[in-house]
Amino acid sequence: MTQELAIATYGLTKRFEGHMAVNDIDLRIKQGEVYGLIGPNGAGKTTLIRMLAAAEEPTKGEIYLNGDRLLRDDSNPLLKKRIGYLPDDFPLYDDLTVWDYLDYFARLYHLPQPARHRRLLEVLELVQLESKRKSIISTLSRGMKQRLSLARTIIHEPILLLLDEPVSGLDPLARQQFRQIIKILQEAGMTILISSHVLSDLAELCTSVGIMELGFLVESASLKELYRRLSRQQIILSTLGKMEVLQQKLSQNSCVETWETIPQSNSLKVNFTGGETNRAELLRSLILADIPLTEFHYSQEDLETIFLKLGHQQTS
Amino acid sequence: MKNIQLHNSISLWERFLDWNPQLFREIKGKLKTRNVVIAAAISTLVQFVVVISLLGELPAPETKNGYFQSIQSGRYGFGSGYGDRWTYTKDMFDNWVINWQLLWLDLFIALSIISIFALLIVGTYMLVADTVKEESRGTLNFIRLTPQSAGSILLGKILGVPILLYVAMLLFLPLHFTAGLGARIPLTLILSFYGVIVASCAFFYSLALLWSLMNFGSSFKPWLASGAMGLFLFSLTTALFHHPRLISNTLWDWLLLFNPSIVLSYLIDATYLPQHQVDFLPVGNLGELVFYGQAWWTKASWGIGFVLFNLSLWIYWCWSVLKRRFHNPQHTLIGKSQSYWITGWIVAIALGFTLQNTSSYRLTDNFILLQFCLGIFGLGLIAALSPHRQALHDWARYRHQTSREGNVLWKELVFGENSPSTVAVAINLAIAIAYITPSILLHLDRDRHYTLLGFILGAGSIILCAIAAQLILTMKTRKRSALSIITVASMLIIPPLCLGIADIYPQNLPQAWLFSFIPTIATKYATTSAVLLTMLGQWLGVAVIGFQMTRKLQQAGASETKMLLDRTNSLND
Ligand SMILES: Nc1ncnc2c1ncn2[C@@H]1O[C@H](COP(=O)(O)OP(=O)(O)O)[C@@H](O)[C@H]1O
Ligand SMILES: [Mg+2]
Repeated sequence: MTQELAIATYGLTKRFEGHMAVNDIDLRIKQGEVYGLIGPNGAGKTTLIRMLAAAEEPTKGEIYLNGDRLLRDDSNPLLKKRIGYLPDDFPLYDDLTVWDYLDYFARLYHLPQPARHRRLLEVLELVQLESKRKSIISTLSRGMKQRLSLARTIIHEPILLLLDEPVSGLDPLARQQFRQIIKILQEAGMTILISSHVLSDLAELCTSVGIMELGFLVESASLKELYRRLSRQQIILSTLGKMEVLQQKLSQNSCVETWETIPQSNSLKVNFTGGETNRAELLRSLILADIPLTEFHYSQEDLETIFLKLGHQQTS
Repeated sequence: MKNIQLHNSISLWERFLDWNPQLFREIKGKLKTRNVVIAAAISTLVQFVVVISLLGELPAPETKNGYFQSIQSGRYGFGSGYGDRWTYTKDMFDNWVINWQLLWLDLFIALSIISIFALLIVGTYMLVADTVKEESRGTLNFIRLTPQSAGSILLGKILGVPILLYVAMLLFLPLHFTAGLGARIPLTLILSFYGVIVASCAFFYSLALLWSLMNFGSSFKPWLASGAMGLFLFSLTTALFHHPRLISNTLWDWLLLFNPSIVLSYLIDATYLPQHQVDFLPVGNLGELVFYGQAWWTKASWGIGFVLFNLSLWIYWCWSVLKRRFHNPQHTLIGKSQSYWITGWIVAIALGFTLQNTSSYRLTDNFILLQFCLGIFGLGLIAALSPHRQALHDWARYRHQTSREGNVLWKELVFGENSPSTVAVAINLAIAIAYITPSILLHLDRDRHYTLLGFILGAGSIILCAIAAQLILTMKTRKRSALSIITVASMLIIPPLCLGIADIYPQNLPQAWLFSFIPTIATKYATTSAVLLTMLGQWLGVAVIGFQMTRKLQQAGASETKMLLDRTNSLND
């Protein structure tokens, strides 16, 4: 094992009143990843994250964070310091100021002075709430409260962040701000698990995705692998010469699966399976065959399409 | 120089705040200038009103030219009189002679009672309301996720949530202390009285936290808690004032020891003021209180010591339950091994207060009361130990995969988490009866057999209730808890009610009463064979329900597995 696992669960199960909210999940997340957990409402994302944060007792199964067993009691204060958990409803205290609220949690996590003061300033700057430090929490807007909650989540410099639907309910600008912050945190080396029922929230953030349905983790892979496995590569070819010559040449290449002509133009869309060298090979062979190419454009299907395809596979 | 001092005091305050983050949070949230001013104003006003009303008893100043003068009388005179009316006399310099010591004592007692009521009732309300609010909002869950121990959070809550109340009470302190010294109460007694107040606050506040961490209701919880607290304090405190023969020499006396006001008896006694002037529970009467045949309460040191011991013991167990509860709000209220210890201590102390009479006749009554209380306690144990449907099903289904007790069934039933409660309830009752039996055999003569049989029959019906309640808790209906409470209550209340309505008394038809909640009143008249038959009936009932429950749990485990497989298959297709 070259890279230690930030999260490893074994047979993690949670039952509520006769139905399985989370069903026998073996989750593996490598350190430094941004793992997107996607699934429709009621799929069990919140329940899974709550168990990972030690906020819920699993019915069965074990959780290891960086190789240490997570248990729900007084026994592992160090392990608890590694986790930052932002639940979907992020309750706050109305009677405290922004500064006192963060100060309170910094103390709960045993941050000593003067590091505490420094960290508070740092975090406030990160979530862009410096100007609000003296305000009472109940006077903040929803987006500010969300960012304040995120600040609370990272105040003790956790190495594992668990964010449950952090951007749902925010306007586009606030979403963009939030994503910016997540990126900074990822660059700082945190492992981040982030859930959403909308893929587009996560597409530009994640390095891996897991898909949950009815309590099962039906897919879990790195983005690269997903692309490799499921995204079809396409090459657009345009020629000045005869299409038949081009098509004949293409049919000789083993990496070309199918193609379709693009109407009203002298172009083709080729579904291609090979790697980069195969692509170079194809281009060379076409040029050697004296085909007057005007375009050789390579593209991949985007994550949205892949996700739709996955969904299609699951429901059938 | 001044600057350094200022700096020192600031860093001391900082360090105090650093010590407990929860306390820091409560102080930041509640200790705002406006609130402090209001608390201080109320505190001062109350003191002012109390002082004024006491001073009203003093003789009125004479009018300059009035030659006709009626005799003035009041509580603090030294002349002739009775009750609250003593004539005021004058010394040879024409000054009123006033019983200042009694005035100071009255002030001391009034302030003591007011602060005990305020601390316990208002403090309980504040704590429960605060904790229930945090629990229902979900903010308490964050705190659970931090590396803080349950003890530090809860201590912070106890010290911090009623902080305005503490401020108000601290402002009582100078006047209260002066009044105590003015009444010539020894300093050590005043200080130990403060100790008792602190201990009783610690006990009732821990109880309040436990109450607020229970899994039901929310809006009515603070009112119910402070209402019960108020009722308890009010009835016991008025009794202290008006019933010089308060000690009943039964188990009830134990309740008195939870009221910190009882210690005032020693303080009043130490002033050597005549008893009839103060009208509070006399120490001589307190001396009749007996524990395992010993009158501990004749001397202030032992008496206060025992009150403190009693409170500390229950503070300890409250905290042991609280610590478990805080991190596992979904589990049963108390753990099985905890329950054995708690039962042991409760029975040990309860028996001590039961053995207060030498006359066999009254001692028998005391034992009947003990049996009744044991029954109530047994019901409490059922509620505190029985896991609910989901936990039970999980236990039945995953027992072999998750158990830490090594899968030994009896170990899990006796010590394990989430296993059915019946065996644990039975063990608790067995502990109690085993401890009580020697005393019954030693101290009772004629009545010993039927008393003992009464205890055993009573335990039997509790176990029957326990297993019935557990069975209902495994059912599928939504209102399981309510249903099981109703069932248990009807099992206990309806038979005696019907018998009472039908004019059947234990003397006429003892067999019917054997099934009731207090079988001890019937065993006296029943034949041994009837008692044995009843016992057999009870155990048959336990066996049948137990069998039924085992079957249900097995079924549940099996159907769960099947359901799981079905769903997996359908997903894989
Ligand atoms: N405390 C609970 N009690 C009973 N059922 C619950 C509880 N929490 C969640 N569930 C159920 O578990 C399933 C998964 O819920 P959740 O984890 O919140 O899904 P998601 O976050 O993916 O929307 C849902 O069917 C929900 O009704
Ligand atoms: Mg959710």
